[in-house]
Amino acid sequence: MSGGLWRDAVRELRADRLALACLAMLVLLIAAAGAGPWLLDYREDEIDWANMAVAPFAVDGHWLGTDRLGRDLLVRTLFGLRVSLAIALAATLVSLVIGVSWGAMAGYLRGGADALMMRFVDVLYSLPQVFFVIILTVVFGRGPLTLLLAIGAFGWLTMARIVRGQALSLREREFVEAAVVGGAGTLRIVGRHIVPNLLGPVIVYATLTVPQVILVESFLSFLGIGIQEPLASLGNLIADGAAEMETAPWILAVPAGCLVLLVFCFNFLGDSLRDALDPRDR
Amino acid sequence: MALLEIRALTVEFSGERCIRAVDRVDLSIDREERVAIVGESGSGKSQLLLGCIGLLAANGRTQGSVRFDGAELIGADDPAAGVRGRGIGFVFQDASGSLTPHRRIGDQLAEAAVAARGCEWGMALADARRMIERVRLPDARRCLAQYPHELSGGMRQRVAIAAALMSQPRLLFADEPTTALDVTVQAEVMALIDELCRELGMALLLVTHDIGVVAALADRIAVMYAGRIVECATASVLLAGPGHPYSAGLLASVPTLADAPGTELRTIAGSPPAPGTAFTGCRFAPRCPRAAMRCRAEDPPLVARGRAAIACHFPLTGEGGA
Amino acid sequence: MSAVLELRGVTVHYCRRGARGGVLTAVDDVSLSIDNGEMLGLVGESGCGKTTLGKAILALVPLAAGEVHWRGQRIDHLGTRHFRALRRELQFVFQDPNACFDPRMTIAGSVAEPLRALAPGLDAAGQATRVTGILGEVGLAPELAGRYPHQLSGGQLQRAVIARALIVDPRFVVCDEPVSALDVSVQGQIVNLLARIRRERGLASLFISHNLAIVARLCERILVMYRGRIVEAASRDALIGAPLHPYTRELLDAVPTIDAGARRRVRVRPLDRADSALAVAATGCAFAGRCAHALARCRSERPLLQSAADGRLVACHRAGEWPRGLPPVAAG
Repeated sequence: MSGGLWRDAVRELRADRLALACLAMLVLLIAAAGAGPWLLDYREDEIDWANMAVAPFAVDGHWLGTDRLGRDLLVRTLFGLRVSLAIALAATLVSLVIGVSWGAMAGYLRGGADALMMRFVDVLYSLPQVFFVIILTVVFGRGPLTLLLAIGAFGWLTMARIVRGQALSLREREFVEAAVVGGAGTLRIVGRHIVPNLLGPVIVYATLTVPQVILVESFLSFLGIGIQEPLASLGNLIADGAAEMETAPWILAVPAGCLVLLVFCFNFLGDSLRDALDPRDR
Repeated sequence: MALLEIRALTVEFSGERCIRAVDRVDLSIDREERVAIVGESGSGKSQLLLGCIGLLAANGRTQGSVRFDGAELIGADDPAAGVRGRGIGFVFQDASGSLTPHRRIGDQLAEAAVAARGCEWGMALADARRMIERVRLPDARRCLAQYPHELSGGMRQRVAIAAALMSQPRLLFADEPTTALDVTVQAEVMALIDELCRELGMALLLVTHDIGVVAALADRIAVMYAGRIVECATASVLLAGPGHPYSAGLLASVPTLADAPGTELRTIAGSPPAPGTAFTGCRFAPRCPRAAMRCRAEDPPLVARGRAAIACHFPLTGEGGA
Repeated sequence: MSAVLELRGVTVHYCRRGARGGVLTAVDDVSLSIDNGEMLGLVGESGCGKTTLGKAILALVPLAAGEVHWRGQRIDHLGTRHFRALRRELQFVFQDPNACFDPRMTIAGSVAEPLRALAPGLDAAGQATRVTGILGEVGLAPELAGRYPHQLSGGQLQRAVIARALIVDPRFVVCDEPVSALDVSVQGQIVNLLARIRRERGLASLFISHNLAIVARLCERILVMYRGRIVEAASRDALIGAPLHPYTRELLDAVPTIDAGARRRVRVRPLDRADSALAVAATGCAFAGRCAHALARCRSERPLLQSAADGRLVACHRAGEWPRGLPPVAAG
């Protein structure tokens, strides 16, 4: 990687206080999701018969209260965060790999191959995602794997389009022609010259995809199609909370607040990354 | 009183290090006089122009004094006002610096006129058409309706010149206006600038790295190196006998048809220093074929010697070492 | 002396995309030959097709008609994979040094890249030795090898471009305006370098430029190109001393002069419609709209490239009228 361009980007990011704060918050959330449950007293499915639906800070040990079954809300939220994050990161990784390869090849090859590949993308684009998820659920049953499959099958489409656009303009650059004159083959040119030079927008878009996936997963779990009880995800926690909204609002507020915080931090970080990586500012 | 008086102009850029691109430059331009500043990339010549009218990058700062017709431009509330209402036109190296790609040429020119003189739109369009004809572009009506990308590079540069003239300036700044063009187009654009300056009674400050291009056009030539002016003289004096070794090197490196084929082109050894490099002694000493001990220790000031001002301990003309 | 590179009737089309459509002929029926060790000059202004011609020789753009022969073998109809073997022998020096390097690779990495495909027998150590050797030959300090393109000056980058072209030890190089993007003071260094390399390696080459003064320094034979067609072909002395085509005369007049006495030698000419970027070639001589000597015949009948005295070629109806060449335009 070009030392200069990345170093400049890092320097610009370091100067952006809010971006740093978001990054710190994300690190904190991820650390909490990973290690938090071990540090806390309660397990996520442990029912505390004595303390059902207590408010936050009311009872020792249950910092953020409990739900109607007496399960500690903080621990459940952290678990839900863990599941949601895992699915989001895995789905984003899948869409990154497939989308970048697909888009870069289509953009570089142009002509018939490009047309074929992008029409395929267009067709998939026009399928309604929710129906597709439902069909997959019927075939493979509910669960995180199905969810991952469903989200992954659509997540790479926009990435492919973006990458293809970038690849189309990159292929006209003189250094690509120079590589051809140097005898390089298509795979080498795409892998060594085209893809590394479009990583800027790709990284930015990936950072913005993660919160999108989290929202989709939450929505599907909220609908009952995604993650099922007793496994917690932010989505079904919010679904639970919605049912109790009037009597015990904290059961909704805690996971919803966590979701909002997560999505905001990713979005803001993505925006700042885009500004920092913008070559026009050089 | 000179039309443009530059005194001790310094341009600096803040960042990781403080980079001084222009170092205490003095220059004056009279009415209808044509002055050319010649120097390699990194000599600070473009920053000199941009600094005068406040078009530097965000981290740039100017110090010193630039007076246009008596009024101070540095530190004024709106430095770019010097361009808009008060008679300085600017031609950039690349016409895309002057022209927006998504608006028609006629609209852009008319807008420049309205912004500068506050005339109404119909009159501005008529002025635009006259200006297009004046820069010798064919079919003015069609040209006004076209977009910049529909013209060739040379034609775009003519449009850029027309745009600069819409405010009826008394002084034209031109930053490497022909560098991106072919020799034939270069020659024509220079001839056009020459003709327009004469017709409109404009003074000209032109910046370039190619001394050959201004030889026929300039009244006075200032040679710039590493942020300083190292020689300043009337064109005929400088071209006949340059005093500074750098000027001599620049002149010698222009390829001409008269040279014997197969011989090596004369060059200046090494490359120009990056802006912001620290120096002891004369800045040109590392590349100068005549450098002596004194040159590496002592920075020569710009002093008048005969009919030129030269910053060199051992100039090529006249006595040295005084 | 035998010709190593031969072009016969090469024509290249450029298809304009979008609503305007249509086909522009970038290179129109060009024939030339280059001997072993010869540097042929090709002069013309931007858009005349000279770069396209150079790229056509290296199969970077497809031919619409004509043939390209390298060492007696026809090479224009080879597929991409078969042509790759030839890339070791045919190389290209690009015009804009800032654009022809991958900004994310070091100079050493970019210069070594042709070795991967074209010299597969070399191991890493061998490659490194070659890189160091070639950088020394073009005059680049070894510490620049690990830097990135944006850290080098224009002159240094252009040397790196030449290094990359030479590292596979080619027999023929197309030099596409190698000095146009550089300051005048640096141009001389690169021109001297190219002359030296050509002498030492005995390379055949095509030197493309819009500046006749530089081409005249390096090339014994010069071709003048206008709007995709060769309009004059002659030895250097004949071309400069006695140009037969009005466009050649214009090129000669446009070379900057530092003689302060010769002021305003070029008149500002009103531009012809045909000069606009999207003009399609019409009937008659392409230069007629711009020519001070044009007749009615010039606008209707296209002049063919014909032999004049001394083995010269010129495409002008009136070339016979000035056997001693066109005189310079009088000062305006």
